[in-house]
Amino acid sequence: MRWHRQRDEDLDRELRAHLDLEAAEQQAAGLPAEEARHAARRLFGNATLVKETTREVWVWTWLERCRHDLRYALRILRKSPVFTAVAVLSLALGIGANTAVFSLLDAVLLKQLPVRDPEQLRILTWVHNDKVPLHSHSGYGMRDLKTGEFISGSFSYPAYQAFYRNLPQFSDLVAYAPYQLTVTAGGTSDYADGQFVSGNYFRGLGVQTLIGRPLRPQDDTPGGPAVVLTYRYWEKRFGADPEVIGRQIVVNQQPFTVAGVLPPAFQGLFPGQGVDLFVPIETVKALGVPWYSLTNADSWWVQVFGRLKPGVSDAQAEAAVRATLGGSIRDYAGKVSDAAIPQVRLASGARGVGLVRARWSSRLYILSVACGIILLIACVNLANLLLARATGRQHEIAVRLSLGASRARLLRQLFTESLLLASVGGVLGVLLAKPLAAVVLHYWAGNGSGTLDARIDARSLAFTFSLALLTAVLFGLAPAWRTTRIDLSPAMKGGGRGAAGSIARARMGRLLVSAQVALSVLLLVGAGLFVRTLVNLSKVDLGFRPERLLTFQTDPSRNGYHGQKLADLYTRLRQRIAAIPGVVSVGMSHVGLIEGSETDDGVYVPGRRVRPSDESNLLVCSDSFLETMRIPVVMGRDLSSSDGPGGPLVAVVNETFAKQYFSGKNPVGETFFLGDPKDTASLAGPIRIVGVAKDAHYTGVRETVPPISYLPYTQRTENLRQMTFAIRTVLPPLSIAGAVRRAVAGIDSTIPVADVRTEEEQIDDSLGTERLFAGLVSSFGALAALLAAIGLYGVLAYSVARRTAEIGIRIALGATRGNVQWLVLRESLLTVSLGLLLGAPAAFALTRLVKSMLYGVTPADAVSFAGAVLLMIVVTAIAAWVPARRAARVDPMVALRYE
Amino acid sequence: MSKASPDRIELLQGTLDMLILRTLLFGPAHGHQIAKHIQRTTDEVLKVEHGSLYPALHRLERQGWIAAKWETAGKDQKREFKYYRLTATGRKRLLTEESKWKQLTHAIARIMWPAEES
Repeated sequence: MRWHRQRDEDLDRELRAHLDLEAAEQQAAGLPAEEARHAARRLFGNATLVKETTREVWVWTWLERCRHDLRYALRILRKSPVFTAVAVLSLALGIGANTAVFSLLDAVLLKQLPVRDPEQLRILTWVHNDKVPLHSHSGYGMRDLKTGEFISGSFSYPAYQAFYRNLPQFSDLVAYAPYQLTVTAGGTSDYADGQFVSGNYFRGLGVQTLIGRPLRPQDDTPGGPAVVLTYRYWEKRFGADPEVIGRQIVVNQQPFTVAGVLPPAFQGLFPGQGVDLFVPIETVKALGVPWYSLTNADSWWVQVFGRLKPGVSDAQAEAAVRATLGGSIRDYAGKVSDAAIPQVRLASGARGVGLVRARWSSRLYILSVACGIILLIACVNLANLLLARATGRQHEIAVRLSLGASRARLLRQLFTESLLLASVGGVLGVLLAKPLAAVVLHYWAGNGSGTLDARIDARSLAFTFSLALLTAVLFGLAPAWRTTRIDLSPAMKGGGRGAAGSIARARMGRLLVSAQVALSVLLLVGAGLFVRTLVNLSKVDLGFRPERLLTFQTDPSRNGYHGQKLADLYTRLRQRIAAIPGVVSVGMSHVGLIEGSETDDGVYVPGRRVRPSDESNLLVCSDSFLETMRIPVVMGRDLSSSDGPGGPLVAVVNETFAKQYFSGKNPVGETFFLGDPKDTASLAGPIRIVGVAKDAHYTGVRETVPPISYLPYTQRTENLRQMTFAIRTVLPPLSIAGAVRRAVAGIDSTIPVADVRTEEEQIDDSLGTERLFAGLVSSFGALAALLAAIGLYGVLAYSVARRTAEIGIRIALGATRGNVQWLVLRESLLTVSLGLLLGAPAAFALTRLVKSMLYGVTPADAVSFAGAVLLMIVVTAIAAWVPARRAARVDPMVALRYE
Repeated sequence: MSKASPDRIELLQGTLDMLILRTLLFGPAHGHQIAKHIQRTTDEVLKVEHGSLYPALHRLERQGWIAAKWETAGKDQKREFKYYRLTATGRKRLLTEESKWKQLTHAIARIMWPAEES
């Protein structure tokens, strides 16, 4: 715009000067000053029209040139469809992969929550230390990777109330706690991710509902409860029915009224961890969650965020929160030292709560690096192809330069071509990004990614656009520069062949191929490491047999079954399912194997010195569990139906347990206690060991097997809640899923049957990230190697064509075909070696960053490195073979006749 | 430049560019000078319309055949004029235009006055 204005002023000035001169002339001819000016104006004609037409010259010529360049570029690209296809497809893949990963990265790490003034939000956290007098604490802690401190985000409800009353530094303070609930509506029951929230939650966030109304402070009463649904749940569970407002639904056996539905963008405070419905926090007791106390200041379970008032510093607010928290701790713990009051930290809440972020970020960064490399390779490859093509056009360009075309004009034209390629690649890339992002999310489905707001939106499009532009500059500029810098006369004479500039161009081409080889090695080493990790993981002996097992989860405790009544229900469910034709046996455990969750407790063995690490994983299970999973009992006996509530407490332990606590001696008949060994009052037992089971994996495939105690659920009825059923069949497992559902519904149709899948699926899902990385990085590596081979072929083929005469002379002078082949192979070997020399050390430096993702291989794994290098050598040797043979077949007579 | 007199000829399409380039061969000049020079050299036969002079000047500048610079005139140090001068590519352009023009006029002449040509 500025440019235009300046030009306009310039034109005005020019025309005014002309008029003045004309007037001066008229005056000299004898006219009075005033009349002279009029005469000049009359003679000049319509000044505005002159200005208009002059201005048009500029606009039109500019547009005209753009149109010409574009048409020229299109014509050139249409003339070589193979080149265009390779260029566009490799760019599309590179840009698409980067856009997909960016959209994920953006959703998890960058995007702000869709709430009012997100930058004002602060999450209240505190730093763990041993002195804090605290007995019941519900999770949501994480280790700060920078400081090494353990940060927790949970407070007691009375502490939250004290914050709300006493902290003028915040304009609003909100409490919330996630909890899984059972929702019964329309005759079916299922699990839903619920969130207990204080009544001011939506006011504090500034979030409105799509239909109906949000929860309000006056909803926060134990009676008359209302719920608000998220858009996703409303769609999934209620078919997006607008009539749902005001309808009654049953949550954990309590009637609730649906008050409103939230807009689709709002998914709670945890990006990537979805919420289905929000319920008032005062209903925790009515919903049967006794360990979430609203009155006990010693029970820390609510998370708190606040809206900091403008002008208040974080440090001021932290001090105020800590003072109030100290008061709350002293209310139940009496006089405690100042050191026992934990330090308070305010974390920015603008992007939501960071737990998912921490878990996702490292994987996403690795993916971005892999995608970045593939795009870089695509760019290098294209630069090389363009360079090769430019040589073919050297004659044309020389002619145009000598006819008076300016170099800038030619540069612009060549650059338009790159820009066109990049734009088409970018558009295809965007189309490709959506399915690619879906693939990544599919592999990570177990991580709550279903709710991730990873759309290809304006932000991702802006990213893609800048990326396309950047690639155009990266691959387009250097060849264009090179091409237009030619010495005219030899280029005109020799038709390009043998021209001096082409030696520099060949050198540049070889360097580009070396870069491609180096980048390919990076990806191939990574692929080797991830594939070997996956192979190692799939070879792990789990200690149980996962084939032909169907599993599902249920928790009837939210339907009013507790204690003995629940234990009896489980017994009946088990009998009913065992009666289904094709079922061999039915086992139950409070968490499923390889599900990723675990329970553990301290271990005390009488007569043995207590060590702080004395712990055991617990699995509360049925007597049929070990048999159903095919975990062999190597000493003593399995659990049995006679280990009932009245009898002595018993357990089967695993080999690691026996080794750790009984130094490998036969522990059958020995006893131990569970609980905190330092606190005798907390100990439960004695528990008699009746058998030893072979080691089997519990939490996951990666973890080494810890000491495990298998405890009969019939003796632990007081805390009994959810169970995972494992059903061994002779049929394909999923074929009996319907019969299992009917069997459960036949006993109580309100009991949900959730997460129905096979044990093998469960294991596969637990390795989703590893499979994704192995698959993605391998295919990227293969593609990179292929592109490098194409690049090398191009460079060598060109080199042979250029040196045909030289080769002809050599053969005429007595060089053997072997000599000539070696000439070409040597060039290839030099190029590839340079790439390998650059790529291998770079890979060595980079793979250390993925160490935590590997299993059974070190980042410097010799097999992966040797494999990558060998593969590169083989692939490039094949690429070099064709031009080498062509060189050997050169007929000296024909070659020399050209000169 | 009084009212159009009958012995004045409208410029042929496209020839103005060539005439401007040729005029600038003598050295830098501003718009007024160029117009005056063309008129004076042709004894006022060729008439340069301002409505086509300035667009033509700017078009040539855009093509890079002439370049412009603001300078004070020799006698009048106070006033600045936009002086145009021929560039190297402009010189080449003039040569091609000239040879094209020669061919054209010869061709036309052969048809119009066949006897005189031989």
